Amino acid sequence: MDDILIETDVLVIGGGTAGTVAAIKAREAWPDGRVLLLEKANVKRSGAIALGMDGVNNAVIPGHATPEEYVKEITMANDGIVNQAAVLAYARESFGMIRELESWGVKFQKTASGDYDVKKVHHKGSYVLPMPEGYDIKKILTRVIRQRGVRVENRVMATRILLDGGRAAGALGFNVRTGAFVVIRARAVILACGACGRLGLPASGYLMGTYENPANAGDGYAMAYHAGAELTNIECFQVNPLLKDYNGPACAYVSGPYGGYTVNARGHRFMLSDYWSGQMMWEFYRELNSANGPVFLKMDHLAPETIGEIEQILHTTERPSRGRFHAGRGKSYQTDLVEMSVSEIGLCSGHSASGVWVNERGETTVPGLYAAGDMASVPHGYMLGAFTYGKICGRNAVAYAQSVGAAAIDDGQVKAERLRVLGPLSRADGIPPHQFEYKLRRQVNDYLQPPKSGHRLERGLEYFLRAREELAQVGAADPHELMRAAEVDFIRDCAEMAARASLFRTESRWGLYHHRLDYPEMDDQNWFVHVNLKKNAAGEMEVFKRPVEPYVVPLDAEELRTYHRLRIAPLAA
Amino acid sequence: MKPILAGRLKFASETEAAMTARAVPNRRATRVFDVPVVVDEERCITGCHICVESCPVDCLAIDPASGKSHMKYDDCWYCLACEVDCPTNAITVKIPFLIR
Repeated sequence: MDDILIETDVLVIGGGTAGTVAAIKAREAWPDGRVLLLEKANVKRSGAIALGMDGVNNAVIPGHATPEEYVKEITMANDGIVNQAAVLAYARESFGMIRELESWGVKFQKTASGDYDVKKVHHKGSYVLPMPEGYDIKKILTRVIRQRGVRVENRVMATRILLDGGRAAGALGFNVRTGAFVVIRARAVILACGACGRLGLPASGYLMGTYENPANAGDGYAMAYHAGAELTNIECFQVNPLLKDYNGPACAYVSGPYGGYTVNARGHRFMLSDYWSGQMMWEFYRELNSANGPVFLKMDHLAPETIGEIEQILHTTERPSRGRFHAGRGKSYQTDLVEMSVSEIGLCSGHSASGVWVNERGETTVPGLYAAGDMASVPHGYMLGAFTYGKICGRNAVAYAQSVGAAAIDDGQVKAERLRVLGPLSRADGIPPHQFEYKLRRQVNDYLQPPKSGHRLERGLEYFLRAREELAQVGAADPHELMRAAEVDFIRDCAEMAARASLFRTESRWGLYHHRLDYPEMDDQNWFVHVNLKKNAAGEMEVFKRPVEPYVVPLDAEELRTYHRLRIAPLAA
Repeated sequence: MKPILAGRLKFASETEAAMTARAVPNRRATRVFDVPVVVDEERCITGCHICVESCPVDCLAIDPASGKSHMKYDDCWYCLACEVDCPTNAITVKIPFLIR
């Protein structure tokens, strides 16, 4: 089969939340330029918001919050380890993004007087803006992409960034339906591939029963790594409080403003805020594993009409099969507590802080390579962070692309990647990718699931290195299996990064996200730094400290500990 | 190959036993799964592939024999995209058995 060669000016990899806006903004900034949006699924139903979203979790709306207040909140929630300039850039542009989304047809909840109906879920400020009619958001974005003249290639999966002397020069990959190898030459590349949601194995044992859209397999983390970019906070895992077994959000952000809250098995509230932070997950985990466990979301004290409203939102957006799951077990929000559990681990800046290092312009450490959304390092970005950094990256990638000449295609890299990525097709009866994946992700659970310990992490690392050899036995009977084979390679890369970064930071921080049983205390003296990693000149994974940039919004030591005070003292017996 | 002696395996060492045939491709056994996506073939329109395009994990395909949609790969995320987008309500997504 012949290779497919595509020429473009700006290449966006991933047509989810961040990628669609990046492509739209790139076209708007450069009406004569060519913009190509690559998506391994189909943009109309891809990414984290394939079935819509029930609200914005981090709206910074004038009159409700200031950008500086938001930067403080996120700094506290992340135990101080943030690049504040990047968070501030988001906070300043996010309201403009909301207005722009509205102009495209996205609806946000308003009060009777016409104000944005902002709710409080965070520990300190009010940033949650419901969008009860958010189910069609992806279809709206797809329409705008078409209107702007973005070229879309669906069902093409990128597997490596093409490099020209250290600069991003395009991407290599293949069509997941035909298996044809694809070479794309570009002047600038924006990575928007979402989380690594298939890292840990759900307790159900169902491979695709993940919190994240399982298509988000860490593609962007691995591609950026192999391109030589720095990644950061990888040890700050994503661990979420989810509906037990269903493994989707319950969702306290929706029910909280109506009066729902998290309780233990005795029906007692045990923490002050349901906003997802490492400390919140630590309190949740402790309660779940105590004599007071399991843990539940409580709504049955609310008026039936109120519960009906919550159900209407939760059973039509984001994960609309929630209602079917509950009904199948004969449970109802009207009469029953909703049993919760702790998710498997993932990497996702959208909820936590792991990502490809980017600055306030969305630039990675590789010239011409940008990153946005759940895979880029700006913490707690959620959907609006992905939209806003998509916008920032689209604009800046165009400025870069206009300033440089066409890149050269490195034939050696193309040849090597074709051989590597298509390899499993030549072993049609080799180890099936799902079998390799089950074992890999089970080992992730065994060795990386927090609380962590050095000895366990070392055993995990040993297996992940052996798994690299085992990958050579994985076979693919068709292009669909080839996609899964390429994904398990990415998942393995992410597992190795997660083990090495977790071993390197010999302290505990971010509550459950990085709790080291062998180093249980937070140690600001030695570890008030980012832990970054990259592929060095020798091709090895190098882990190192990167100083936290001086704050642009100062906090005193007392304020920095705000999120450590989430626990409600137990009632006297 | 040495003859198999009573009380001994045919290998000279455990390492030999562990490595022999380890990398030999050997896909043989198959296991049948109950899958979440149920297609009502009476309602499914031949020639339409909206659901196949909607699926974020690409687990649906048109069966060349029947011309109808079916779940070809056991990758379903029970997201309901196919069910919601089907123009004739031909699709019902069950919560996977391991989860429901």
